[in-house]
Amino acid sequence: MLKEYATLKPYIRKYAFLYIPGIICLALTNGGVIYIPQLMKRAIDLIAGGETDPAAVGRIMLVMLGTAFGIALSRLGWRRFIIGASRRIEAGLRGRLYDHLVTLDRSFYSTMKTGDIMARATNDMHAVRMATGMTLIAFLDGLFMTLFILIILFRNYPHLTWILITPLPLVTVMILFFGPRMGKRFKQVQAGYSHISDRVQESLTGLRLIQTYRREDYARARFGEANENYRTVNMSLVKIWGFFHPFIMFFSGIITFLLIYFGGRAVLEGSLTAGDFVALMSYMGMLIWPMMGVGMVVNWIQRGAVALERINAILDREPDIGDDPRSEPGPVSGDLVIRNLTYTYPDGDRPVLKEINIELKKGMTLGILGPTGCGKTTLIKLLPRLLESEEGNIFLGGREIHRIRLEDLRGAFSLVPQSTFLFSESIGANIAFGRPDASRAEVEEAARISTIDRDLDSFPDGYDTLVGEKGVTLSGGQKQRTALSRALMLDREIMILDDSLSAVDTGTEEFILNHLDVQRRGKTNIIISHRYTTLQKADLIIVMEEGRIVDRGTHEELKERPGFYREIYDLQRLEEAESGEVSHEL
Amino acid sequence: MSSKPLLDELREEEKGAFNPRVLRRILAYLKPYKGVVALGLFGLIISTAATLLSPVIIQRTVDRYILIPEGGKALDQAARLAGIARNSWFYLALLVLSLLFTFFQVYLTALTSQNVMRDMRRDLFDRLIGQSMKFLGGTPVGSLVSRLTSDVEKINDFFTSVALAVLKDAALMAGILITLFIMNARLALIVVVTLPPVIVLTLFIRNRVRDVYRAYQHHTSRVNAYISESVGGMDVVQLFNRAEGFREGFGERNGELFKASMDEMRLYSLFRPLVSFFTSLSLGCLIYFGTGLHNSGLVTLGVLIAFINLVEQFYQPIRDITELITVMQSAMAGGERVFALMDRDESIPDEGTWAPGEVKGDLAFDRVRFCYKENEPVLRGLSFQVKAGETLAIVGTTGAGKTTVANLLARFWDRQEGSISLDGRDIRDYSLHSLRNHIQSVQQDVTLFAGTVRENIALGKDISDEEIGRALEIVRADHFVKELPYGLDTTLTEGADNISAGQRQLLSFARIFVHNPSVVILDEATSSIDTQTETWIQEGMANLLRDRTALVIAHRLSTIRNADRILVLGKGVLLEEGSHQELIDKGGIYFNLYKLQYEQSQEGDS
Repeated sequence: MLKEYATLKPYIRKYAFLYIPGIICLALTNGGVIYIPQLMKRAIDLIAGGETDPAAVGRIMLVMLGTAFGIALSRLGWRRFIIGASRRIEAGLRGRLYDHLVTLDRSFYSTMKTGDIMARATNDMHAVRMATGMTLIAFLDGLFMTLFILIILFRNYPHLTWILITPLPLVTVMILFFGPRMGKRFKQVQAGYSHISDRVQESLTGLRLIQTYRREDYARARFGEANENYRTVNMSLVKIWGFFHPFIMFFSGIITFLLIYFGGRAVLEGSLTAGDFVALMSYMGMLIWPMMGVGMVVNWIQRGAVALERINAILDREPDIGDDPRSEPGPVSGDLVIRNLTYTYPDGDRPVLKEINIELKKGMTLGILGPTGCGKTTLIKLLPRLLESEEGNIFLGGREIHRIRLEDLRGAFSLVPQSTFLFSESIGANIAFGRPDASRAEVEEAARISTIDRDLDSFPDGYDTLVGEKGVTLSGGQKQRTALSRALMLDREIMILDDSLSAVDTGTEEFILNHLDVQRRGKTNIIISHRYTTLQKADLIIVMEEGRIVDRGTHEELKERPGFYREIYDLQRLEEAESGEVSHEL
Repeated sequence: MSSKPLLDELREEEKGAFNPRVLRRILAYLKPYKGVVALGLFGLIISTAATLLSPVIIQRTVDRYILIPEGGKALDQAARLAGIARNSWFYLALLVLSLLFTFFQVYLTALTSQNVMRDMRRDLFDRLIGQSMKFLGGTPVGSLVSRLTSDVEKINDFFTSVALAVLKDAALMAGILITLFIMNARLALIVVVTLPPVIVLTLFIRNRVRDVYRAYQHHTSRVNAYISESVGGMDVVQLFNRAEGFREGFGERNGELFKASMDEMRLYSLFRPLVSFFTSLSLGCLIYFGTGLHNSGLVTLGVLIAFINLVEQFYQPIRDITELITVMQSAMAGGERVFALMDRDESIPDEGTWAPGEVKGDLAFDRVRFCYKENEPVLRGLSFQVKAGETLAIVGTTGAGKTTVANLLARFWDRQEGSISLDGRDIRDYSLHSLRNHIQSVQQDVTLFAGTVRENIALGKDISDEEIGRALEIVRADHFVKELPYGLDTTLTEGADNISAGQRQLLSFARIFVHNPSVVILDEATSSIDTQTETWIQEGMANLLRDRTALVIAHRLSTIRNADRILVLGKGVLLEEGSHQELIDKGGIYFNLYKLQYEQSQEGDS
């Protein structure tokens, strides 16, 4: 469990300059706190002596107040130092987590849900802060107090102390026994919590479906199960946790019991003064907190470890795709060559791409056609290394892509994917996403080519209209066109349209394609589509089926020879022809 | 796009720490558990009483047997020893009592609060599940989820931390003051006189605590929103090489949160040491003035010792007050949001009672008017009829009101004027349950749950594998399901991105088929599908629509041409109506629309 804390080592070292004075302050505080009962003992002994001079007691009290003031100052000190350090660590670790998240790729994000990542960056971070701040304090405080008090007690009242501390080992035994069990149940509670979130999320996104099929009871049952489970795991935690706290109080009470029983006798026998008795009682009272603190420390160390384990799961995750040490920096440009490319998904058992060979000269446009699931999207994801292929198959500008610095490689591509993600910023900011410093004129030009500018009138604030929950909800076609503008802004060497005009009507598509032709002259384009009309202008069209290139050529060549392309062409032509006939009849 | 509790958190800032209305609502949830609550309170009383009684026992033991004050009863050594022993055992008994009842009370409180949380979540869920689309359209799913999870959890904290602590602390503090006055009124007065600085400090800090807490919350939600959004769009961030910019953006927000967090820490770091100092001040005065009183025989040593003990206990709860305030504040704000959600009702009124086992499937729209937003009518007096078994294609440009027709028919929204009838009866006469049994729709975006293919088709209804198999065959989904690694038992992921859009469409057909409604509304997908799947979809659709009344919001030429009749909608009114041939012959709007939109390449795609 403690090995998870290794993550924090560098931070602890970094903030040693806070921790060390903090710990000194803490020790000073404890010293002061322990000195006060000594003063009280002296006062009580004076009072018990009878006919006391109030001035003498007053002097002692003044010393006590002075000490109390010192304690307040040193308390302020350790709080600022140690808690301050823990909050710096929290912020630092959160920053590190985020920086790491930015480097991780799809293979990670497909295995971890957003909600789960959020929980790690918030709740778990909080637990780490507790572990490095209050937990450490409670631990050290408990340790110092226990040590100081035991030293004083053993020096002054050796016999009685032996009796009084007998219950202490029992506390340790209890903690050792309950600790791991508690940790396990904490985990169950956390899991139960995210289970509930998932179920709610799922039902709400599918609410229409649920209502259409009148499956409310089914949804309720699914949720009810998660709901009830969460209650059950919480209660099972309470059974231990709820017992733990009162039990430690009980132990400290036992010590007081022993004090009255045996201490009382000692006073009668004259081996203990009244002041001693009061001081002992104070000290024993002070031992309560360290013992309670033990409970808290165990609890928070457990929570902290669970949290760190979850955070480490992200931090330790190496991006699957990174820079090869042999890669050389510098922009890339030139022909795209794919040689004998075969690709199998890391968790797959058969290749999704087989022996792909393509040679695409700079400035050419490649069209790709093929049925769903034939590997088109996989192929284009391999090019900017969004997916990782084996080395030696893909070359850009004569360089093997793994030998190109990732930043430069990706800098050569702009990809407009099938499904579009826009940020909840303004439309203008979304278009300028890749180049935040772009001028308004450039943004407007990009918007014109994608035709999204035609829709701007219907948005309340034009380019400044916010997208998403706080602004307008864009239609599928509007999203696609915004994403296209966003990609156009970059003006990269290779632009890939992965069926990214599917929600745009044909007339608009034609307009866009014509303008792209001009805009992208001299640059390479790759267009995936199901419509032959989109592909017919391409310099080279490849037809893919089941991961293989089954045919290649220009539109003119492909439509003449039998095969998938001609089937599609004929099918789409047939409909055209039919409609032509209909209109002809008129 | 992303869940944004941000606005809600901002709203929280306007609320005070205490809200009696919310408290009443929370307390109402305790009703079913009255017995448990009463038992818990009983446990609380006993354990608090035991806690209070302990110092008294000690005082008596000290005064009677250990340090007998001058003028006290003189006892011989044996009697004193026996007294000490007796009181010690009594003290031990008190400890055991306190242990048992504390555990008892902690357990019962947790039981109560966990039950209340479960009930609240259940009620919220029930509420949500019955809401209309209007409701969901206006509220992001992410924030609804946090209503059911984190907000409810905050109310839980209220029970376990605040309510209990307040009760116990108040009882303890009052108990201590009473005990002090009973033991010795003069000495008690001295203690009371030393209280004002603490009271002033507490009053002063109360508002500051609220302010720093608000700032902290505000920055926390900004950080969360940022993470949530960038995680959602990570692909884009990486493709556009914007990671650096996002790191900076996050660093900025993280830094602001850190500052707010340090402000909070500074405030708290001042408060507790000061309270401790005032405790010492109180004790110093107590002992100083106590000396004089002891000298004049007005106070025994045992009483003075008991006072020291009790005064220390008295100040204990004050130190925790800052935490109580923040927990209270967040619980009240959480409660406010939870109950606001519970009070929102935009469900479709379900007042009809007509629930026939079978319907023929005759449909009629009569001068139907409807708008989503006021003054922006979507349907303006739309009328048309569909005979049972007919397939009707609805075409029109975006915004013509095609999807609205579907929404109104299954009553996901209610029309504002006119009437819609099924088999000649107004759809509002049918119970919602019955209506939606007979009229079912397929969305463009097919919703699939995390679960197996089987579960996604049956949706919890008891349907045999044979039936599912037959349905898959009829809608031509059997091919690809067989190809899946575990067939029907293959688990689809959230959002089901392990199967293609076309395959999802086919599954949704199978789903409709097994649930067997008389009327089907189909919002044809515009997303691109390859020609093979397309052929299957066409065949599957034809099989699905056979013998049913069907309304198809059509995008594909083949669908439109195969329909029995075509409705051409424009700006919420019926423009043309007839078969494909009739409309083409007419050479009107449909003809033009057809030429423009479908002629080129609508075929087999898009």
